Amino acid sequence: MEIISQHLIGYENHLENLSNNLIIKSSSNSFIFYGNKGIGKNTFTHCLINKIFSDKFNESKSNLLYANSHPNFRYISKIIDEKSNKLNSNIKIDQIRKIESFIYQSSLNKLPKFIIIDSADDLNISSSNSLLKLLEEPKNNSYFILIVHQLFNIMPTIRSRCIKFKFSHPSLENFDKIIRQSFPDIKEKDISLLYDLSNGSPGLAIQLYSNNIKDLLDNLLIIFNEKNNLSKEIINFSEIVGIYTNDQFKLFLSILKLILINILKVNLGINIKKYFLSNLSDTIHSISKNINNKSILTILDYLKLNENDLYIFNLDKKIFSINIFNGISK
Amino acid sequence: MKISVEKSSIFKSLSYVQSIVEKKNTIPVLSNVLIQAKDNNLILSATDMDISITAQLNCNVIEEGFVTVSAHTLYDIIRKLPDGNEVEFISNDGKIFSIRSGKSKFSLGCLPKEDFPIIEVDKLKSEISIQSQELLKLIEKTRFAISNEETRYFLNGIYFHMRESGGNQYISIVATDGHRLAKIDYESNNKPEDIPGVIIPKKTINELCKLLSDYNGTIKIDLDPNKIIFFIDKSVLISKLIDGNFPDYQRVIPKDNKNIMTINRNDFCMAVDRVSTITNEKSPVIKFRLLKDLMNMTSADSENGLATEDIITEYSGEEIEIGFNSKYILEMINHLTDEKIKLSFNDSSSPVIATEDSNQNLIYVLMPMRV
Repeated sequence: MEIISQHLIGYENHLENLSNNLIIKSSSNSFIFYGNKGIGKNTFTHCLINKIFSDKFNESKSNLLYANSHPNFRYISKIIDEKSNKLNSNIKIDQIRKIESFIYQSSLNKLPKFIIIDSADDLNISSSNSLLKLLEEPKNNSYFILIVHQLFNIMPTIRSRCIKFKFSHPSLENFDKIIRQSFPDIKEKDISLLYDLSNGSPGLAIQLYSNNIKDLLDNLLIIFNEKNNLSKEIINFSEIVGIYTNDQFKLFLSILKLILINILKVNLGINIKKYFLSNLSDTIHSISKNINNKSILTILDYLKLNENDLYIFNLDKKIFSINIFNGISK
Repeated sequence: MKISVEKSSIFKSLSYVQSIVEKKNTIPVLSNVLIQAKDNNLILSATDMDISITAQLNCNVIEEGFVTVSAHTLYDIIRKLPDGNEVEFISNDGKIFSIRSGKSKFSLGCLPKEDFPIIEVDKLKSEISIQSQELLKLIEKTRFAISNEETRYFLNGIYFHMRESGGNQYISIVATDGHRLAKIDYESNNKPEDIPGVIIPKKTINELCKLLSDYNGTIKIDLDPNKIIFFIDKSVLISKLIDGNFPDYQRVIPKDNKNIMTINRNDFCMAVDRVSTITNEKSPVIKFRLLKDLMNMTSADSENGLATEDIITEYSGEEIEIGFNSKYILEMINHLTDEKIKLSFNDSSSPVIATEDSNQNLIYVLMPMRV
C-alpha cells in the first residue's frame, strides 16, 4: 500500500478554499482533481478530507484516514490480483460495485462520506460505466473525488458530471522541501537534475532517485557515445533494464524519450538550455553530435508502436531494450 | 499484555467476532481482531466498517494491553487447540503476539492498534427491550424474503418499525423482494413515535441471528435513523442502516381477498415439491387450479415434460386459475408452522395471502405469475 504523507507542502490556498467553501457547500457531489502524475494530488486529497473532518466535525481520527480504515472513507485504486499475484492493469468493476453498499448505507456518525478514486485513469469501460451510474444518482452526504493524471482518459460523461480542479506542479522551492523529506542528505545539483527529469513532479522524482537514476543516466550516456551497434555495453545495459518491473521500465522509457526529444530539438537548432535547471542540457548537446534525427524518429516510432504490447503481452524487456539501441545509427 | 483464558470461552466469543471479518480484504487492519485486556476482562472487536462486533469475556489478566492480530488465523489456532486447555496470550511490544497452550506455541505478526477503526457505542435516541428468542423468531419468519437485487438497495434488508393498530402498539418487521412480502408484528409497550422506521442490512441480520441463537434472555436495542446497536449478553453489535425509503408495503397487502382456502400444510408442501421437479430456473411456474374442495397443480416444461397432482382442500370460493413461482411458494409454506394454513385469493392476477391461525400477526403475500 502506498504510504501517504500527512504533511502537505504547497497548495495551502487550495486546501483552505476547498475545505471552507466547495466540498460541503457545493451543489455537486463529484470532483476531479487533475494534473501530472506525482505532483501530490493524493496527498492533497487526504489532507483536504482530514481538514474537513477535523475542522467541521471535530473528528480526531486522522490516523484512520491515512490507513484507509476510516468508516466514512473509501479509497479505490488498482489492487493485486489474487490468482496472478500481480497488480491489476485497471480498476475492476467489482471494486466500484462495492462502493454502492457504502453509499446506500447510513453514516455511523455525523461525518460526510468520501470516496477517492486514484487514479480514475485506471478505470476500464465497465468500471467507468458503473461509476457513472453512481455519479448520476448522487446521495446528499457522499462525495466522490476522482484523481486524474490525464483528463482525456476519463469518459466525457463522467467529466461532465464533475467539478474540475487543475493542479500544477510545485515550485522549485516546494519541490526541494518535498524531496528532502524523503532524502534529507540529497545534493543540490541532484535536486535540479530530478526536477528536470521529472518535469517538477516530486512523486516521479522520488521514484527516480529510489531507482538510482544517476547510474541509469550515466549508462545511457555511455551507450549514446558508443560507436558499435551491438556492443558489449548495450547488451550489459539491456540486461540491467531487462529485470526491471513494469513501473521501473516505464520510468526508464520516459527518461529515454525525454533525452531523445531534446536531442531532436538540439539538432533542429532549438535552444534547450532555458528549459533545464541542471547541466543535463550540456550533456544532451554533447551526445546530439553522435545521433541523427532519422534514428531518433525511428526509435520514437518503435516505442509508440510497441510500448503497450510490451506490458500487455509481458514481452522480454532485454530484447526490447537491445532493439531500441540498435535503431541508433551513428 | 499477558492474559490467561479458558479455550472454550474465548472460542465462542471469537467465533462471533471473526465471522464479520472478510477473508479477502484490501485494508490489512480490517482482517484483524482487536484484543484488549483490562480489569480482568478480555474485549475482542472486529469490524468491516459497516458492522462492528465487540465481545467481552472474563479472563485472568496478568498484564493489561492491546494488540491487533489476524482474526481468521487466531480463530483457526484456537479452534484446533484441545478442549479444556488454558490459553495464554502474550504481547510485549504490540508487534509480535504469542499464543501458548499446553506444548503448543504460536507467534503472530500484529498491526498498529491506532489504525484499527473503533466504532463507538453512543447513547442513541430510542431504546427497545425484547426477548432474544422472540426477536430471533420474528427475524427467521421474515428474512427469507429479503431481496438480493443490488439495484433496489432499499429492499436489501428488513424494515423494522413501530405501528399502531386497534389501540395496540406493535413492532413490525417486514421484508420483501418485490415478488413476495413477509410481515410479522410483535406487541410492544413502546410508542410508535419513539422508534424510527429503519432498514437493517442483510449482513447485519445474519450476524444478529448467530448471536441471538446462542443466548436466551432479554436484549436491548438502541437505534436512531443512522445506527442500530444490539446489546446481547456480553456482546455488542453495531451496524449501519440502509439509507433509503422502504416502500409503502401496506398498499401491497390485499384487503379484499374473499376466496379463502384451507389446506393441510404438509401435504401441500410435499405436493408442490413433487410438481416442481419438472420446473426449471427459466420457467419456475406452477399452475394452480382452484376447484370446490380440490386444487389441481400443473407444471410443464418443453424439455422435461409435464407434472400434475390433485390435492384435497376446504374451498368453496370461485374457480380460479393462478400461477406461482414454485420456489417462492415452497419457502412461504415452509415458514408457516400450523397443520392447516389459510390461503386467500381474489382473482388470477391478484396476490395471494398466506396466514395461520396460531400466529395472527404473521402475513405472507405472494405475487402471481402469468400462466
